[in-house]
Amino acid sequence: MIDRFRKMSLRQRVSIAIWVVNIVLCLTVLGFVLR
Amino acid sequence: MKPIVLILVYLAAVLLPPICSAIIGGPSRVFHQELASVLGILAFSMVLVEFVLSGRFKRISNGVGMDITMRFHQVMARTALVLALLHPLLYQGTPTGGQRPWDPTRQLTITTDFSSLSSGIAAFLLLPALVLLALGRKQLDYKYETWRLMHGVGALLIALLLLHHTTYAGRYGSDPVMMWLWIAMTGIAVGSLLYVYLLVPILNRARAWRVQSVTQLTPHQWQVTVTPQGHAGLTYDAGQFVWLNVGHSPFSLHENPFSIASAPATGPAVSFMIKELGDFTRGIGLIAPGTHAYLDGPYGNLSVTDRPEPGVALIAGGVGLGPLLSILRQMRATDDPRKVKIVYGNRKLDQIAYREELSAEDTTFVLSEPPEGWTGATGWVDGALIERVFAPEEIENWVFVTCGPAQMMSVVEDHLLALGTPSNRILSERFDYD
Repeated sequence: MIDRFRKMSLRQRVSIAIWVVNIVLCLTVLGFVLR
Repeated sequence: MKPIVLILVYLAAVLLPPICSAIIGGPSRVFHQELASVLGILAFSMVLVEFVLSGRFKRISNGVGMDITMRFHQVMARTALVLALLHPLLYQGTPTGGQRPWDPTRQLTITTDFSSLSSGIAAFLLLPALVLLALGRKQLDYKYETWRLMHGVGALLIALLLLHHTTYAGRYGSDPVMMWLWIAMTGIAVGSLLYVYLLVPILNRARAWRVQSVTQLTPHQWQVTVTPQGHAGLTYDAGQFVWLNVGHSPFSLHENPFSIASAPATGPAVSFMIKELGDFTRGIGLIAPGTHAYLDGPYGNLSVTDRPEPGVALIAGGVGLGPLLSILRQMRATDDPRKVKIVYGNRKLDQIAYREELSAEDTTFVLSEPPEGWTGATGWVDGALIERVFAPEEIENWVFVTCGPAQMMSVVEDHLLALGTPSNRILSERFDYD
């Protein structure tokens, strides 16, 4: 997994980071409404 | 700041208001109202953190790269916009007619008082306008300074409107703890604007520079050299860039980012390689020696200082040569034992800058429109050329620094990765953020 990440371009890694952040935001929304 | 730390700090800042709101709690309302609230809370906190991401904070951008920080700023603005646009539309079925006398703290209902909603409506209209104007900046072709002013003032207005709306109309925002949290976060956001547009210029006023020379390198490229006036100059790493303001007040918005082409080891004078592209650069040749200038920086992480690799590959396209020239000059000035190979691509012969200096190095000049009799490489700086110029062990072990047109950088990076160069040995900095 880490090896695959190392082989990714900077653009791909930035895209993944943005997706991760957006997913965390979605989970927060879900946690908030289901609390 | 390392990328993972930046992401964690970002999430912590953005999630603080929704988490605090959830802790403060109160009786839960119907699902869609709670959803609407949390979308609004998240959108506002994201808008506020955008200020810090767009500010020139070296602790944030150096290490990650200002291009990455700006890209993150742009994409998260779009997410915030989506959340903000959904926020009011989910309040369907809410009773109208103002605040209910049996629910004075809005535990179970929302307000329909127009004075508290008006600021939200104004922000609801302004936010998409701000994002759309930013997305269409190039197509609309307005001056960079005009755009910066509009973007900064627009963002400030939206933040203040949202603060009013959140604390007066928000069920969670009207709680005293949340109110102070929002005021503090808005204060930090506004403070970051004041830092960039007020504090940095005040500090720079005491650190003026003078234009020493303006030299034409090619028909459309110039070298501008500035020297410090009454101070020691700039402490920078070869490969970094600054925001350069020539001939204007330090408070002026007339400043542009340019890579430094000189080496820190060669003295306090700082040189820039500048291409005529538009706005300020169009009149670069008319700048008179002696004109005052201000530098804000250094920024960027395009540095090979203290790297362990045995060789440095510098791959430039056009005016992207600037920061790589700085790296090369620093290595020569400090008798750096590492090997260096340069690939320098241009369209035409007369676009090649610093030809004599580069010819003394192991340089491959590449022209896509070569003249008759050209004996150098032809075509584009692409994967095939990289494989011709660099031996397999160099591709495997050297550090590659690339700067130039976005397409060239993407091709070079993708090809190096395909050939087995790990991503941490490919350094690049983009000035075209989209």
